[in-house]
Amino acid sequence: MRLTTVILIAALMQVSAAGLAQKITISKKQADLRAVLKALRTQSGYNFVYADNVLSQAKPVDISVKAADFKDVLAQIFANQPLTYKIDNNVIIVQIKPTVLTQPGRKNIRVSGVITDEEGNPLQSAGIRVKGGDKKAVADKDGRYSIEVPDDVILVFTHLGFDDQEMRVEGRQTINIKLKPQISKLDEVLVVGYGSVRKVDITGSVAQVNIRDMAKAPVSSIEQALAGRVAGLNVSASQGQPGEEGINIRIRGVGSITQDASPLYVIDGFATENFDLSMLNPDDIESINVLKDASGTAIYGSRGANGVIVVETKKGKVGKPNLNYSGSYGFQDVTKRVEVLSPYEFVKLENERDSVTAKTLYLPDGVTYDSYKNLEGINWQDQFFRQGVTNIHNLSLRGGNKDTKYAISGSLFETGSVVVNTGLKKQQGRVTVDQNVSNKLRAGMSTNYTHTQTYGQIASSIKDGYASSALLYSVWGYRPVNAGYLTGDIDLEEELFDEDVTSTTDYRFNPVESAKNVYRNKDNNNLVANGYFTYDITKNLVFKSTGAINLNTIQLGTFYNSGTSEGSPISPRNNYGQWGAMAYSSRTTWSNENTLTYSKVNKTNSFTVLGGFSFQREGNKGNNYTAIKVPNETLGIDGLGQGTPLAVGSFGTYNTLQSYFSRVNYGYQSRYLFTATFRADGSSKFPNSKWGYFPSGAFAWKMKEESFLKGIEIITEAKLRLSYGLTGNNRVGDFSALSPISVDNSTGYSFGNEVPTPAAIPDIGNPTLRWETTAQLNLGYDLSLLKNRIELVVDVYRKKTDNLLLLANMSPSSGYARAYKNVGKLKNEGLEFTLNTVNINKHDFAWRSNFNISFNRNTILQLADEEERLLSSISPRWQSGYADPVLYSAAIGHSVGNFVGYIFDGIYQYEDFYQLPNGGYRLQNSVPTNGMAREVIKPGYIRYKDLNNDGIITAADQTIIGRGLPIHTGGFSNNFTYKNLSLNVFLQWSYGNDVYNANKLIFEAKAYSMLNQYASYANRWSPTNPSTTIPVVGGVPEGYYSTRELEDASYLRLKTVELAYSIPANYLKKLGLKELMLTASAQNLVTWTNYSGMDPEVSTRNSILTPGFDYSAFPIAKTLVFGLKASL
Amino acid sequence: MEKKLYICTVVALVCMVTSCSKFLDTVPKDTVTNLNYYETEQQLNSALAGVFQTLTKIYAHSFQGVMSLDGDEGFYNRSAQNTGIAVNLVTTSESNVTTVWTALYNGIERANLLLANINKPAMTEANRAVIKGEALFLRSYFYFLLVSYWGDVPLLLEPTSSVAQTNNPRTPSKEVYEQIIRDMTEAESLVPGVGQVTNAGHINKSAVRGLLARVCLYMAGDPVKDVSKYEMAKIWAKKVIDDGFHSLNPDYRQVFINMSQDKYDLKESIWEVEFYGYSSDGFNATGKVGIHYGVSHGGQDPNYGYCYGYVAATPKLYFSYSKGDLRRDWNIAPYTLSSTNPATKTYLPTYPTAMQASQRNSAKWKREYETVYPKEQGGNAVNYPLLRYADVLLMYAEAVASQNGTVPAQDVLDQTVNQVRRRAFGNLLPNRELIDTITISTAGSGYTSAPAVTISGGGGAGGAAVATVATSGTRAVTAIYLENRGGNYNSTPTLTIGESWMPNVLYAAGKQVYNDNKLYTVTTAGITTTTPPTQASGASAAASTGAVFTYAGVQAKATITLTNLSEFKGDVKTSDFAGYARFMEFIKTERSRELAFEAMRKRDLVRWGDYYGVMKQIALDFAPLGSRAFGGKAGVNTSERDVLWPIPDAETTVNKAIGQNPGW
Repeated sequence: MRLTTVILIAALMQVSAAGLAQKITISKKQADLRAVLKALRTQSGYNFVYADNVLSQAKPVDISVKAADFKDVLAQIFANQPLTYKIDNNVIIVQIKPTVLTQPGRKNIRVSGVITDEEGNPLQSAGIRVKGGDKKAVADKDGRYSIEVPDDVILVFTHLGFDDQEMRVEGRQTINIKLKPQISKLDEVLVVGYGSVRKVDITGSVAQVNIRDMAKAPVSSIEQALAGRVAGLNVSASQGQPGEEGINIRIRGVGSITQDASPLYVIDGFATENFDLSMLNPDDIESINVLKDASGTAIYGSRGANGVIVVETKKGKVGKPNLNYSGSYGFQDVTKRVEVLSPYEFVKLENERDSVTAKTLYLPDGVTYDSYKNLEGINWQDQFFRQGVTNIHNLSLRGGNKDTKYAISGSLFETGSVVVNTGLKKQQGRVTVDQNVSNKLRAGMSTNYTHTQTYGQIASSIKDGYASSALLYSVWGYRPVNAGYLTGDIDLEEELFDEDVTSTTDYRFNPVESAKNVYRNKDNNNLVANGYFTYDITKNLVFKSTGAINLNTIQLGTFYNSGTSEGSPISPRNNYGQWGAMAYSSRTTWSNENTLTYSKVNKTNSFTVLGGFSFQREGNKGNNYTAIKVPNETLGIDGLGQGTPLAVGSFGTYNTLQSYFSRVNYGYQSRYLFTATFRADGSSKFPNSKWGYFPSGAFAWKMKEESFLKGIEIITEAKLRLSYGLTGNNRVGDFSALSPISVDNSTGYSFGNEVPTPAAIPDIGNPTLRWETTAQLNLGYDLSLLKNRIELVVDVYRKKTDNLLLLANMSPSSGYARAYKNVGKLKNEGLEFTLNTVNINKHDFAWRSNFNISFNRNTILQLADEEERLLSSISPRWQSGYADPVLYSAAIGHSVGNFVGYIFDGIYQYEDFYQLPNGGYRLQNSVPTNGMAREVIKPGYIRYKDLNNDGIITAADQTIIGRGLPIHTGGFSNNFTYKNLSLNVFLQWSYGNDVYNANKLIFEAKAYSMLNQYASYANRWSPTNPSTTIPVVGGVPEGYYSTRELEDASYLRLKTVELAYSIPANYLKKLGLKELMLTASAQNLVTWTNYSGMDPEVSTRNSILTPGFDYSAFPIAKTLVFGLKASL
Repeated sequence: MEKKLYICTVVALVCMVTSCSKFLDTVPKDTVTNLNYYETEQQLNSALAGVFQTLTKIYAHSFQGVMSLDGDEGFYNRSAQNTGIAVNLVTTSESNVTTVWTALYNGIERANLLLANINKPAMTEANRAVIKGEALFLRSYFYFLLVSYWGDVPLLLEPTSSVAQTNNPRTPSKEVYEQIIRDMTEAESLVPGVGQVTNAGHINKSAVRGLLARVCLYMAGDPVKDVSKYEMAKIWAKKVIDDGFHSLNPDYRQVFINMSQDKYDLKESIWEVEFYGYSSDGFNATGKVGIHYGVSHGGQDPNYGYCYGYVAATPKLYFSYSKGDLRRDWNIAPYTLSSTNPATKTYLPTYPTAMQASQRNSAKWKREYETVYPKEQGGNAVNYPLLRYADVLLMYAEAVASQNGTVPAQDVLDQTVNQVRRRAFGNLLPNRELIDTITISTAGSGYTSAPAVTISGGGGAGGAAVATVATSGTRAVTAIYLENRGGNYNSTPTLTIGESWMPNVLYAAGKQVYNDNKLYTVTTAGITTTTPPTQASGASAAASTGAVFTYAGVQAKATITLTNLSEFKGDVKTSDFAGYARFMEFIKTERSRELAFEAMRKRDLVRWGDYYGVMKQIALDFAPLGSRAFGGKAGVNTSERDVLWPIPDAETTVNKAIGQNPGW
C-alpha cells in the first residue's frame, strides 16, 4: 500500500460527555484549516476524517461567528476551499472537491472493458477511477467494468497486489487492461516446508524461481531451464541426450564425496529424494522455491542437508473456467561441430603414419595426392547430425467456485533429436480438485501421470573399455575416403564396417547405419497421487493429514539386429548373434503426514506453532533378462523370447522413515521474527542408531520498521536474517549396515565341470552407520529501494558436513575394498547475490531484470582414517591404456573433483636431441623424457614438465592441474515490454571450471590407423611448423593425462530468448478469446566459450569425484520454436 | 467437541508411535546376510566355493600373460607396451598387482569367515573335516602366493571384525611360512586321498603334499633361506610319489589337450583352477587359458576362435630344448595363423635365428583342441594346472640334491628327472617310433602352389607334414614342416609330395599332378584318358591325354627318418654333472622346459636368488634383435627391488601399519 493513500484517522482524544454541541463560536484570520478544524472538533464533538494530503491543498481560513449553527459554520469554512465535506453520523469526512465535469468542448462517454492479470485471469473488484477526479467504478467478478467519463480523461486502474496503470481514454469506448503484478512482493506468500510464510516474514534463505520467465524455455523438463535462475542453485547437464541429460542440481555446493548430493524434492507437500522433475509439465507449475539454509531445510531433517526444492503445482481458482492452450513447433540443431580433416589432409596424414599401407590404400597406380585435393569425401557429421524437431502442446482448464476448485491439464512433448534415431516423447496429464466439505473441513486430491519414452543409443557409452566403441569415435574418425571412393568400388557409406580396419580392438562401425539400426527404448511411467484433508478444530487450530503415493516404473529394452555393431554377424567379436535385453525396475514410495498448526496473531505478537509426524516407505525392485541368438531379428525386441536366454537378474529392497517435527514462528511487532524448528527422524537404514535429531533456529530483524529507517523514503524494506541449524543426509544403501552374502550362480566355482555351486561373496556391512550431519550458518540481508524498484538479496553461508557417509577405502588386507563409514569432513562456503531491478517502467515500455551470482568454495577437511587424498581414475574405463592413470583428486585442504595430471611442456624440438651418425635423433640426457623410452622419443613428440627434476616422467610429476567445480555461476534475465510486444533474454554462465577434453587424446594424436582426426591436427608439429602445441603422429604416450587436453570450460550462454506478441484486445473480442499470444522462443542460442569441444557443459563420467570429463558426449542442441498461447 | 478432538489426536499419536515401533525394522529381501548364513552344510559348501572363486579371479587374467611371471621364458608380445607390469615397469599403483593382492586377501577373509563358522551347522564330522581342510589349505595357498610375491605380509587368521580394522601390520616371512606349513599339514590330515576324488578342482592329499613340498623349497630358498626345509620338501614330495597313484601321461601334449577339452587326468594333473562357462551361456567363471597364451588369431576361423597371443617365448627358452625334445614345438608354436577363415598355418623356420625364434607365441594350450563352441574371446572353461606330477618329480630331485649339496644318485635321477625327460623325448609313448625328421631329397621345380604332402605306410599313423614352395625362381619346394610326428611306426613310412596323375578324372585348369618324377600343370581342362603325360617339355596332345598337361618341372621328393626311442636320448646320468652347481643349472632349465608358462618361473628364479641376473641377461639377449628388441623390456626394467612386488597404494594409503618393501 502506498503511504500517500494511508488514511489517517484524526480522532478526538476524548469524546465530549455532553454529546455533540451544535452552537459554535470561533474567530480566526488567515488560519490554517487544520487548526480551525481542531477548534471545531473541540467545540462540536464531531470527528474529522481526511487523507493526509487533502488538507495540504486547503486555503487559509477567515471566519468570525458567535454561537452559530455547526452546519452553517462548516459551509462557511469550506465555501472557498477546493475541498468538500460530508457528514456521516458524528463523523465529517473531508475530501477534495470533485472536478467540474461539464466543461465546454468535452463530452461524456461510457467506457467499458475487462481487467485481467497478465495471464488473462479476470481481476474481480479491480478499481477504476478518473485521475484527478473522484469518479470511480469497480469491476465485476469477470473483471468487467463500465464507467461514464469525459472523453479526454486519464483512467487509473488499480487492484491489490498489482501496479496501478494509467490509460488515456482518447475517445475509446472499450479499454481492456492487463495489470502487472506489483513489483513489491510484500504480500507474496511462499510455500515452505509444511506451510507457507509471507515473504516479508521469512527468516531463512529461500529463493524463488521466476516461473513465468522459466516457462518460456522450450524444454521437456524444468530441470533444463533451471540453471542460472536463482542464486545458490547450480544446475548443469552432463550431455545433451534427450532424456539422458544427467542433470546435476546442487544447492550450495556438493555436500558429499561418494554419495548423492541432490536436493530433496517436495512436490505439493510430498517429500521424496528421488523425484524426477521431468515428470512435471513446466506449464503446470505454480511456484518453485529453493530452501537453502538450515532454517528452511531442518524441518526436513535427515534429508535436508543438500537443500530442498519445493514445487507447487497450479490449482483451480475461483472464477469462470479458464481454458488455455499453448503449442509450439520448432527445430533443433547442434550448437557446434568439431571439424575434421579434409580428404586431402587425411590421406597426407595416413601417409605420414604408414607410407607403405597408405600407398596401397589410397595411392594405387595413377592416384596421387592431387586426386584428393578437391574431393569432398564423405561428411559423416552431415549424415549423423540432423535437424531435430520439437513439438509441444499444453492444454489446461482451471476454475472453480467458493467451494470447489479444479484444474485439469494435459501436455504432449515430442522431440526428434539432432542425432538420427534419437529422441523423446512425453505424454502427461494432471487433475487437481479442492473441495470445501463444510466450513471446517476441506479436502482435495491431485493426480499426475506421465509417460516418457526416450529412444536412441547412448552416445557416450563404451564397450569393453575401448574408446573406439563410443558413437562419436566413428562419427569423427570414420574415413572420409578410401581408394575405392575414387573408383566407386567400395562404398563406405553402405558398409557396416570399414573392412580395411582389421584391428580386433578397434570397434569402429558405420555410425549412421548403426545409429539407425540400434533399438534402445526406455519407457518411464510415473504416477503421483496426493490427497489431503484439513480440519479447523478451532479458528486458530488446524489439523491436516496428507497421503501420497508415487509409482515409477522404467522399462528399458535394447535390441541389436544384424545392422548394428553389437549384432552384426560379420563382427568378429560378436558371439551373441542378434540379441537384446529387457530391464524393468519400479519404485514405489508412499507417505503419510499429519500436522497440527496453531496460530495466534494480535497487534504486537504473531505466533504459529506446527507439530506433526510422518511415515514414509520407499521400495525398489526390478528384474532383467537377456536373450541371444534371436532367430527372427525382424521381430525385434518382441521376438526376444525366441532366443536363447542368457542372464536373468532381480533385486528388491526397501527402506522406511518415521519422523516427528515441529516449528515455532514468533514475530514481535512484526519487527523481530524468530523461527525454531526441530525434527526427529528414524530411519531403517541405520538399525543401531535409528534416530537423528535436527534442530535449527533463525532470527530476522526488519530494520525498516525501526524508527531510524522509517523516515528514509528511499528504503522500502530492509531485513537482516541469521540462521543456524543441523540437517542430515541419509543416502546410503537400504541395508549398508549389514554384510550381505551375495549368491551368484554365474560366477560361481565349478567342481568337476558341474554347474557351479553358488558362490558366497561377503561384503562387509557397518552396523554403526548413522546420519551424516551438516551444520549450516547463514547470514542474509534483504534490501528494497525506491518502492521495490531495486531489490537486493545477499547471503553468506558456511556449511560444515561431519561424519560424512563415505564409501571409504578399506585396506585390502582386511579382505574388503570399501565400506561405508561415517568419516570425513567437508566444508562449503559461499556468497550469493541477487539483484532485481525495474530499470525502466514507462507507459509503453518497461525493462526489468534479474541478476544473480553465487560463489561456492568446497574444501575437504578430513577423509577416512589418515587418507590424504582420494584419487579417481575414469570409471567405467573409457580406453584400455587409461584404466589405471588417475585424473581426479579429492585431497584434504582442496576441493572435490580437482584434476590431476602432467603439465604440458610443449613439443620436443631438434635442439633437444643429439643427431646420430645414422641420421636418427636421440634425446639429450639433460632433457627429461615423456614417459616413453629415451631412444624412442623423436622431435615433435609431446613433452611434460619434469616437476621433480629426475629426468624422467613418472607418477611423481603429476600435480593438480585444474578444477572440476566452478568458482561462480549465475544468470541474468531481462524482460522488455513494448506495448504488446515482450522480449525475454536470459543469460547464464559458469566460470572457473575446467573440462578434460579426452577427445583430443584420440583425435589429435593419430595413434590409430585409418582414423580421421580433428581439423586442428593439420597444424601438427613438423620441421617447418615447430611452434605448435600439437605433437606429431604417434608422439603422445598412452596413459598420460596432461594440461594440453585440459581446457577452461567457463562459458556464458544465451540460454533462453522469447519474443512474444499479444494480439490486441479489440481483435480478441471478435475471436471470442481472452488472450492470444504469438511467440518465438529459443534455447541455447549462443554460447561464448574458449572450450574447443562441442559444448563446455559436459560430464560424460559424471560423479562428484569425476566431473567434467568429455569423451563422445551427445551434443547439447540449440532449439528454436514458434508457438501460440490462447486463453478462452 | 474441541477437547474430544484434542484427546483423539493425542491418542492417535500415541497409538501411531507405539504400534509403529516395528515400522523401522526392515529385513533385506533379495539377499541373505552374515546374520543368517553358514547355518547348513550346503551353505558351508557354498561358502567354500566362494573361497575357491578367488583362484578364478587371479588366474583368469592377471596370472595369464600380463604379469610378467614367465621371467626368462616369455615376454609380452606387444611392441607398443611401455609401461606396466607386462614389461616389468611396476608402480605402487599397478592395477594388476593391486588386483591380485586384493583378491588374495578377499579370499583369505572368505576362508576366515568360513573357518570361524565351521562348527555352526549340524552335519557329519567327516564332511565338516573336508570343508575345513580345503578352507585351511586354500587360505595357506593364498598366503603362500602373498609371501612369495610380496615378502612380509599381514597374517590374519580371524575374520575382519569391523570396518575400523584397517591397520594390519606385517608379519615376518618366516612366520608366515611357518603358519602355512602348520595349516597345510593340518589340511593334509583332513582332505580326502587322491583316489577318493573325481576331479582336480577339489583338494586331495596329493595336492596338499605337493604344495607342501613347494612351500618348503621356497622357504629353504631366498629370502628366508631356512635350508632345514629341504628335508621336509623331500619328504612331502616322496609321499606323493610313494602314494603310487600318480604317473606321467605318456604324451606331453596330451596333458594340455586334456585341459583344453576339460578332461581330468589326476595321475598327472593333481590340482587345477576350474574354469567354467563361456559367458554367452550365462556363466562367467571363465578363464583365459589359450586365449591370452596361445597362437594369435583374430577369431575369424571359428575352429581357432580368438586368441590374443599376448606372450611370445624368449629365444633362451626356445634354444634350451635339445633335438628330439617334443616339448619345444608344443610349448612354443612353430607356426602362425592367418586372419582368415579357414585360418592357414604358416610354419616358421626349423632352424631359426634368435630373432626368428623370438617371433613365436607361447602355445601350451591351443584353442583348436577345445571342444566347446563358440570359442569366445571373453573367456573359456579350460582349466589351469596348479600342480602337476612332473613338478613333484622335479621338486623331489631338487630337494634331494639341495639337502646335501650333491648330485643325486642315478636311481633318484631315474625315478624323477629321467621320467620327465623320457616323456619329453617320446620314450613313454605306448608304441613307439615317431617321425623324427623329414629331409628333402629333390627340391623339384615348377610348383605354382604348395603341394599336399601325404605320409603313408610304415605300420603307424598320424604323421602329417606341409610343404612350402618358393614364389619366384625355379619355384622349388623350400621346406617341409613336420606337423604331426604320428606314432607306432615300425618301418619308415612313405612321403609323397603332390598328387599323382589319375586316369578317367576331370581335371580343372591350373591343377598340378606328377607322373614319372615329372610335374605337369593342366592347361586345358578335360577328362583324362588312360594315357599319362610323359613328355619332358611342352604340352601333351589332348587327343592322347584328354586334358592337356604342360610340363612344369621336376617332382620334389623327401625322405623320412624315424626316431629311435629305445635309446632314451633324454636321460641324464649322475656322472653328467660335475657337481651340485651344475646339476642345479640343469634342474633350473629343466623346470623351465617342462613347466614353461605355468606361472611359476619368476618365483623359482627369486628363490634361487637368480632373478635380477637372469632378467638382466634377457635384456642383453634381446638388445641386438632389431625389431624384436622390445622383448627385452622386462629385463631392461628389472631392478633389484623387483624380487618383490610393491605393497599397493590401495593398501598403504589406508593401512598405516604396513610400510613398504625395500626400494619401492
